[in-house]
Parts: sequence; C-alpha cells; structure tokens
Amino acid sequence: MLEIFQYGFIRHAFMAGLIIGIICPLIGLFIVLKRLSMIGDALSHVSLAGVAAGMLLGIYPVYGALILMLLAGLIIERLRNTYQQYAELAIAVVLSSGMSLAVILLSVGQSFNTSIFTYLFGSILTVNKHDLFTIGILGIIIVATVVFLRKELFFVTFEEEAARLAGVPVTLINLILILLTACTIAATIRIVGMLLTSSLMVIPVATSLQLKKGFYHTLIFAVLFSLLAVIGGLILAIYLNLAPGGTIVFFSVLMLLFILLMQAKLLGRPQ
Amino acid sequence: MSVSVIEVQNLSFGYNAKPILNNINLRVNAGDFLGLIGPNGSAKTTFIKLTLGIIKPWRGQIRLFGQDITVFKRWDKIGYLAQRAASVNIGFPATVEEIVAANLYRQIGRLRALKKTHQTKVQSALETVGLINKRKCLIGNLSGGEVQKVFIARALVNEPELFLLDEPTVGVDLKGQEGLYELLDRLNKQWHITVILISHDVGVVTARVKRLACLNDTQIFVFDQPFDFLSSPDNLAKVYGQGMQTLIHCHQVNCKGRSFNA
Repeated sequence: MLEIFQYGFIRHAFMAGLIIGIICPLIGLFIVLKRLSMIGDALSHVSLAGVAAGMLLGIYPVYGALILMLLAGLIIERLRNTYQQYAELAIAVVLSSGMSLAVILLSVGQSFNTSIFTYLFGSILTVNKHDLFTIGILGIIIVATVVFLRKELFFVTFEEEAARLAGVPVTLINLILILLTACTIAATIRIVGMLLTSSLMVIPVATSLQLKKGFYHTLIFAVLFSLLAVIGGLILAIYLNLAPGGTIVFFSVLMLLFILLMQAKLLGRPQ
Repeated sequence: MSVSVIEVQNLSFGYNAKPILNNINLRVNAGDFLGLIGPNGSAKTTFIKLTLGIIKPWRGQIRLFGQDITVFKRWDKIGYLAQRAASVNIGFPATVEEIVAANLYRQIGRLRALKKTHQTKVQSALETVGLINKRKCLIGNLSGGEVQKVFIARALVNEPELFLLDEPTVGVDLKGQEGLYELLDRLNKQWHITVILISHDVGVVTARVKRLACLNDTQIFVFDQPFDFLSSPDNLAKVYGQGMQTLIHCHQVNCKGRSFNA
C-alpha cells in the first residue's frame, strides 16, 4: 500500500489531509458547543462565491474564498449581536447572501464551471505545493491560536456572562473563533470540498461527545476520529477513484454510527 | 466606619426610554449580608448587573471597594452566581474541576497550565461546597442542586470578598436550599465574605440576612432590621401591594429567637 506515496500529489494530499484532520474538529468542538454548527455551512456557501470571484478576477481561488469568508465572519458576528435572541438568523442571512452571490458569479463566469467542481467535492489530484503551503500556514495559525487562547475559548464557549465577569474579552474571542472557522474552511475546501467541509467539523465532534469525557479529552478524541476519517477516506478515494470529500465524511459517519451502536449494545437500549 | 464594598449613588437606568431604576442610592459595607427582594420586573437582576458593570447605567455613580467602576480592575474580588447559572448547557463535556478552574483565568495567565497552587484552590472550593468527591464527574451527571454548588465553587475559587447570588435556590429542593443557606451563613460569618442575595422567598431571606433592600416601582427601600419590613403591613404594601399579606400568610419564620407569622 505504501507504494502510493511515491506519487507527489498523493503525498501532498495526505499531508494536507492530516492538517485538516486536526484543525476541523479543533474548531468544530467550539462551534458545536456554542450551538453554532450551521456556521460552517454558511461560510462554506460564502466560500463558493469567493472561489468564483477569485476565478473571475484571476487570483488564487482559495484566497478569494478566505477573504470573502473573513468578511462574512465579521458580518455574522455583527448580526449575532443585533439579533441576540435569534443568533441563528445571522447564519441564515449570510448563507443565503453567499449562495446568491455565488450563483450570480457562476452565471457571469460560465467558462470556469467545470473547475469549480473540484472545489465543491474536493480533489486529490489538484492539491499542489501552493495549496499545501497555504493549508500549512492556515493550520499553524489555527492550532497556535487555539493553544494560545484555549482557556478563553473554553470559558466563553461554556458561559459568556461568567467569562466576561472573569475578565475574558468575550466579544474579541467570539470574533476570533468565527475568523478561525473561516480559515479552517479555506484550508479544507481543496481536499474535502465546500459542500462537505462543515461535516468534518461537526461529525467527529458528535462522535467524541458520545464518549462523555471531560473537555480536553473530548477534543483529543475528536481529532483522533477526524484523522482516522481523513486517512481512511483518502485511501478509499485513491483506490476507488472517488471524490475524497465524500469518502472522508462517509468514514466519519461510519465511526459515529459504530460508537452509537456500541453504546446501545453496552447500555442494552437504543440511544 | 465600616469599609464600603458597594456604593451606588443616584443610579438611574431603563429600557427603551422607560426608567426602571430611578435615583437609586445604596451602600453595602464589608461583612454585610444583604437580601435584595422585590416583585417580578422590579429590576433586581438589572440592578446587580449594573453594579457588576455588565450593563451601563443612564446616570449615577457606582463604586466597588472604593473605586469607580469604570477604573475597577479587581474583578477577582467578586464572585457572582447568575440567575440562569443552573440552566447552562449541562450536556457540555466538562468536568466539575474544569469548570471551577476556568474562573482562575486571571491567576493562571495565558499559555500556562494549572499549577499545584491553582489545583489546591479548586480542591478547597469544592470541599467548601461538599463536592470534592465529584470533581472528576461531568457536569451533565449532576443533580440540579449539585450543579448550583459547582457554580458556587466556581465563584469561591478566587476567594472573593463579595459574593452576589441571583435566585440561587431556583430548581433546588428544600434540603438543598437549607444547605445553601447554611453555606452562605458560614461564608458570611466565618469567612467574612460580604453576601448579596436576590430571592423571591421573602420569608426565608428575611430570616437569614442582616439587612434587607426592596426594589419596586423604580425605587429602593432599605431596612436595617429585616423584620421591620415583614412586621409592618405598610412596608409590605409599599413594596408588594396590598395583597402581599395573603401571599405569604403561611410563612412562619424564626430569627434570633423570635417567631413571626408573616
């Protein structure tokens, strides 16, 4: 099986896969626990508009997606403050706006509609050194920020009011979390594709939550589940010539089902 | 003269241009045990949030430990148990220990792990509330009363000099309530922590606290002897309206050897 690694594009895909396998659940845990799971979907839809804009303007599409998602992240945070009782409304507004913009841009640039397919479902063949470099830089930024701000992120995710009183800059931390989510999606769309990126942020976390461990153990298990899904999914994609986004997420869903079934068996009742 | 812990002068605040607090003045001294009561919508929680700087007043001055709230930095001196503390996401994957330790945020500092001194503080706070044996438990596996104790331990971990509790007995059974009131009594008498307790339970609060403040209709009424409030129908009517006597008729409370039918 190791012979597949003699190909440069496969090494690139695996290296990029391992990075996104770490960063997706790392950010995913915080957004799931803040009950903002849909934020990944909203930003993914915006990223489609960003990729299309990048292609139209002739710039690297991932940069286009990143810029537009960072902007959308700022808007979501602003709208969340405006509609405090309906925080999910901010996500719906941005998701619709992103999708409408994407449709318009795709209509304008009909010639690149085939290349956008790789961004929708992910691709192994197209991960080049430039992609790997971008994913690597984004990965370092995300991991370093989470490690640096882990106590603040934990406190704000658990209870904002108490965190604010303890001196945590809650508004800034919330903003940083949304921007990190945008960076995570930007790093992930080349491999997993924008349609399934948020799944990789949510499903390994959902699996890990079933283990009912403390916070940091839940985080570690979520990363492990995610890495297993990425490795398994990539191998399956290579050997069966399938889109890696589908196989990776399929693997993570299988792990969730396995854990749920094991629990049902252990407890002797359906969960 | 006693040291002032909270000093509120001419405080006014409202929502949508409608005032709910008007020219409020209150001084809480070190060692006080103040009960804050009032009907629903009398702005008890809002008043506490104003004194904690969570919301900004329209007018007036708030001083904490002698310092204006706008320049006050020693928030670790203050412990706060919010009204909805027990209704936070109990499915959150965090142990009792992790939740209590989170409040040591300022002491630990960024990029640093919990040191032995911090762990000792966490253990001490959990011993105080009687949850030391459950320190490794997930918060979702605890009862409502135990969850409330976790939040009390979180507030106590910084060894605060002032402890504010907003309706701490909501969702707690009678035994749990009794334990909570005994704990507050101990914190006030033995640890000399200044306590401010917001509650709807007028009878019990009156029996427990040293002073009583009643909020109603944008005003505050302060009673240095809590039973002065309960024993006077005029006071009850002023704060709660004429029907109040019927409302708490069955409360028999004991205080300092005296028994009252409120």
